Amino acid sequence: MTPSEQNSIRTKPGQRNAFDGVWGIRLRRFWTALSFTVFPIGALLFGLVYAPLLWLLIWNRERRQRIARASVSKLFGFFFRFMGVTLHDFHIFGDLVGNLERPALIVANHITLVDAVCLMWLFPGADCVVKGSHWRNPIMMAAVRAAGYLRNDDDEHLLTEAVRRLTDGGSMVLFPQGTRVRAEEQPELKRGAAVLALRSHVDLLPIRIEVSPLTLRKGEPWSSIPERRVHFHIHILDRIAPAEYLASSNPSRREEREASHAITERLRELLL
Amino acid sequence: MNAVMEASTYHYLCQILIAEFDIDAEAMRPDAQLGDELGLDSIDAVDLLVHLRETTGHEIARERFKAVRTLQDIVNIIDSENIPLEQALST
Repeated sequence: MTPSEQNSIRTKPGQRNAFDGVWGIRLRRFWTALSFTVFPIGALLFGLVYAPLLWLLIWNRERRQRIARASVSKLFGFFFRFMGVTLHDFHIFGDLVGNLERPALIVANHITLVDAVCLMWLFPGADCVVKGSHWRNPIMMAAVRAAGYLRNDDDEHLLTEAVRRLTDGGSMVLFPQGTRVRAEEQPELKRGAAVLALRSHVDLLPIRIEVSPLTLRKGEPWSSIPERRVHFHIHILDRIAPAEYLASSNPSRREEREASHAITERLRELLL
Repeated sequence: MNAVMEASTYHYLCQILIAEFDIDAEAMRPDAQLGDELGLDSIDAVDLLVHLRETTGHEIARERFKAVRTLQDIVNIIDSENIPLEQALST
């Protein structure tokens, strides 16, 4: 089932349902615990069985990464929908299918622990800029290594390598605010996404994630269960062509810098 | 002699930042905070290092640059590595 087909409306926003109330909360607490057990088990199986098989059987690195990314997308999709059985209802607004056909730098605000899981499911095959510590995290390391994602802890390498990959025609998921923020904090967008789009001449595809009630934010333990079932909404917005922010096709550093600030400001309006 | 050299390094650095990075000339002071006062971010830092490498052929280690907070900090690194900054000025 493709994401757009499963874009069915199970509950109307604001409507109470069987997943609210005391028993609803108990059910969702159980389901959250189950989900956060299933995910690491799946990730460890991926790392201990599937990834080594890939390394053994497929020697071509590009092909291996392509297969790994497709598998990650499928597993994340399974996991996200598994959570959704009781924890959230999920809607996509805007054109997903049309945007899958053309490469883009996909930029989203970052609210919950599972934002990336959701986006990697929706955009199979996309590259992703991932927290560097995942390369040493026993649960995540196999997936991020096999899929060949980009780590965010080396600015210069990230900048040049991301531009190279985007110029080669790949899509990439990036959270311009870097990380999730704590409940009391205001997110700040960095202009890296705009700079990448400007240097690789690739459209930005802004995606606004809306989660209500808010859950799984930074510093928020998984065991704090929201009182209502969560509405998880993905708004796929109109593409931003970076060239529209430039007067010439060969901008000076100053012009590029100015344009990157303007684009970042636009993203701030759209995403935050 | 040393004071003169440092002054000129600072002078060249300011010129580069104004010309290439569009930094406000009036905000320039040796002890100006790069982030809060001059509006330079991590991408500017990478671009500056790449610019210096491409124009002077000298590579400044990223680790050294991470501790940098003020213009004077950059001047100190450039002087200690004897980087001919005048080559980095755009012509």
